[in-house]
Amino acid sequence: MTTATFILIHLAPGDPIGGGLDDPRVSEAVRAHWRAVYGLDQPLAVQFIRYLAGVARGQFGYSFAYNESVSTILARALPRTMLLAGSALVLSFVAGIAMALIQVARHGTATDRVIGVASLAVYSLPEFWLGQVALLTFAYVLPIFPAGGMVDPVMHPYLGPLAALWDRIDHLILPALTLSALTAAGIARYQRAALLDVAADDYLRTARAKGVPERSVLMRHALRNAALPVITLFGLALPGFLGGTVFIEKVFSWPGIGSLAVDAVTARDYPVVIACAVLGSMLVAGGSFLADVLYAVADPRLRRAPGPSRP
Amino acid sequence: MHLIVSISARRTAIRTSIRTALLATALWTVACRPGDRSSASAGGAGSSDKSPGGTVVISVSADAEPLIPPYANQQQTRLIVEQLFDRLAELGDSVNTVGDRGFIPHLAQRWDWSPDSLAITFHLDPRARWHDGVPVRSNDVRYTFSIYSDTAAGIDATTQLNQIDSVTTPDSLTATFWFKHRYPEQFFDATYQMLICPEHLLGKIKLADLRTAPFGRNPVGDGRFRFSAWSPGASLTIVADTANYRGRATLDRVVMAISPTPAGAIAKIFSGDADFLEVVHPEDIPEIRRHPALTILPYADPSYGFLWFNLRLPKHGGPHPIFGSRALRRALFMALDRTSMVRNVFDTLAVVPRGPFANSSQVADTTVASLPYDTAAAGRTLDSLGWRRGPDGVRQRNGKPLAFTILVTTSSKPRSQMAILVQDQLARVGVHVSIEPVELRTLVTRLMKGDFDATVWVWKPDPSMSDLKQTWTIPAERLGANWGAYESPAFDAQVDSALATSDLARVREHFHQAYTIINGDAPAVWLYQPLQLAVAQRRIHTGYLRPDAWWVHLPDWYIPESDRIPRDRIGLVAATP
Repeated sequence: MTTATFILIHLAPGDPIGGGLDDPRVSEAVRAHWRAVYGLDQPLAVQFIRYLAGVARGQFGYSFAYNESVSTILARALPRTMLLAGSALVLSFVAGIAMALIQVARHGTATDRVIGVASLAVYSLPEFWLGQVALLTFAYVLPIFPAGGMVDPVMHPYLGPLAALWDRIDHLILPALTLSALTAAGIARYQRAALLDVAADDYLRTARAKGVPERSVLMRHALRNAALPVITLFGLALPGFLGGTVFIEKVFSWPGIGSLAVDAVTARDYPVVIACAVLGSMLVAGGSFLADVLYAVADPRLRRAPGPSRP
Repeated sequence: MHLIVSISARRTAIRTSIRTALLATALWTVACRPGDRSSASAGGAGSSDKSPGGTVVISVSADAEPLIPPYANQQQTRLIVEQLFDRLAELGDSVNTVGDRGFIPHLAQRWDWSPDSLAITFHLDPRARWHDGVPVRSNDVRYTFSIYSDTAAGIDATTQLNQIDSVTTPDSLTATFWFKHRYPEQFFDATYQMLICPEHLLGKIKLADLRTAPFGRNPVGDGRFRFSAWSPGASLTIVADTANYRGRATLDRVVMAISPTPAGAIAKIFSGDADFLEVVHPEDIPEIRRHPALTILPYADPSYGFLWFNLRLPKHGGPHPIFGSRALRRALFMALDRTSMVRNVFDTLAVVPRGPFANSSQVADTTVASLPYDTAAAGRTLDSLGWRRGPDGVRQRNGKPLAFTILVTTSSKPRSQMAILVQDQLARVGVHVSIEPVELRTLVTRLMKGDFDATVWVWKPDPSMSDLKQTWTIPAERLGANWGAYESPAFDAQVDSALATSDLARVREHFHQAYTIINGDAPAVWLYQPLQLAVAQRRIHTGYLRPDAWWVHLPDWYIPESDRIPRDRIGLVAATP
């Protein structure tokens, strides 16, 4: 991944020596100075070997745009994104599964159809557009939430612990809801299909025949057996959310990894771009591992070691 | 049908609002001539209660870079750095850069010129202190010059200081600038180009490490605001320096809040989360006018946009097959109806420039001749050059079509719109224009390499008269600027003469001649000069917004006691850790 990103970003046209330096009045000598400082005057192979050597030592290099080490920048941005993406992840799964349960409980009714159409409509919306509409609607037309940012930049340092916590939550709700809305719609569709697949199974009919209330049939019996596809989604949703935050963070002025990655690509800030890509791939791997673990938790059959086959 | 009516009504509303804003601009321009700061308040209706206090949240599109004065090029960084650090003297609102007329004493209480005008001696204010309490002394001035003028520091202001020979410090409160020769902008170079830096904090840092020094994230300055807090990517806060030698800033605090998207920025203004936004998009004006708490603040913009021709081929350096011809460039210039183009793109929020300058420039010349809009003359010229219309309507010569490509950045709607209009208008005289949208960083790289036919570009000159020299002359080309490779020794001679003259009337005359030459050579088509509209909460009283740096009077902005909201009343108590 490091190699691929390194090659791709260097293939992209554009000079990383920018900021105020892309003004025509800045002399070529000044630009050459900074290229030399950042090692950009070296052959690409030399730059690559140096970079790999740094990564091997856990150093992702130095940002051209921020004049800080990439590790420092990532350490600052990652918790912000994890807060947003983690909240959205939980929200989207709770909402998606709840919608699916309602749809299955009211299968074939108007409620089922309305939720189905609504979730399909939301699922089809572009994130950037939905973010802007949500921002203008709920921060301006109906001023319920703050208009972006992680906290109130003026009052937050002066608030007590509880008020400061609420300030943070208040700023989190709208971007997290927007981010989760798109995923929740998809999850609802997957979960509904999985629940309907198991709806006619014998064990559910038996449970109903024994007088188990329908709510318990769905929640305790059907849901657990229909959880596998959604668990797969859960594992992959984490890196997926990282992609979603690219747009949502921009719209809601949330200074996390997504916003950082966009700015880095625009500025040709090679070390930051590569680090973000490596981080994304680590999250994909981590998500897949998490999905495997959750599979085993949800389905005991997967925990059994394969025994000798019977004759 | 309803949709069409609504769009039409909305457009009418936008146009009406723009015209009202323009009228306000005109009235404001008359009422608020540079230098007349007393009449320049653009805030709400009127209280003159300037008691200290209040918070202003400024919405900006990007975070600041490290707050090291010599590297403060980007606008957000300048906005903050110029509040934290003082110059020896500040440019006046008249933006005069010749001699010392209009300059306001800052770190220097006064100054003397040597009899031969080859030296200026600055006498520092003995009350001046860095925010850590250490006195500001002449050593700081000498140190500052040493870093700004060192080519090993990679500072782009270095070339502007190459006419200063040295800085000496006869005593701790006196710094003398020695110049290599006399020229009109000696004082400007000695003051405007450098923000004085603290030697006791930076002097031990190697020059190569200066840009990345921790100081840049926690700076100690001497300005009327001091650094308070920075949450990178989110916000940056500065607070009044209550013991400042020039008097405390009237506001308690200024917060720069980052909103990367225009929708996010305007939402913050509408919701009251932010107080000031430096650029308003025309489509937001009707909504702003509906808000009684908001006010639109027009101010002059020193930038100008132009269609830039590349006169030289990048690989072998020969003349460009199309734009190498002066007569052809003139024909293209005459084929463009710039007035209608500007009206189409900007309505009334821009005017057509008469040359490579904005009207707010001290050397603007509204009398200089410009090529007329005359498609018939353009057509005749193209015919005379052998470019004849082919069967498809496109002119050809020796079997080659008269065709070129305009590079345009995807990040600027006005530039893209201008390129489309140029394409349309040149098609009418038989010129085929292709438009190639590219991302800004790619565009800049191609321009620097000379790998382009033409582009729509915007320049924001600094206040110096030498800006023309830095952008359109042969020396500028050698330095790596002047990407279009325009070369005219006659033009250069007029610019050099202007820059060597202290008599403003003669300066103007030389610039008039220079503009006449460059307009005749048409290395570019001067397309538009925008007018800027900022928006602020009405409780904020801003005063004059100087075209080159609207933030320069920020320490004197105020919020009357009766208009203050809770965040204005925090005071300067320390925040809870």
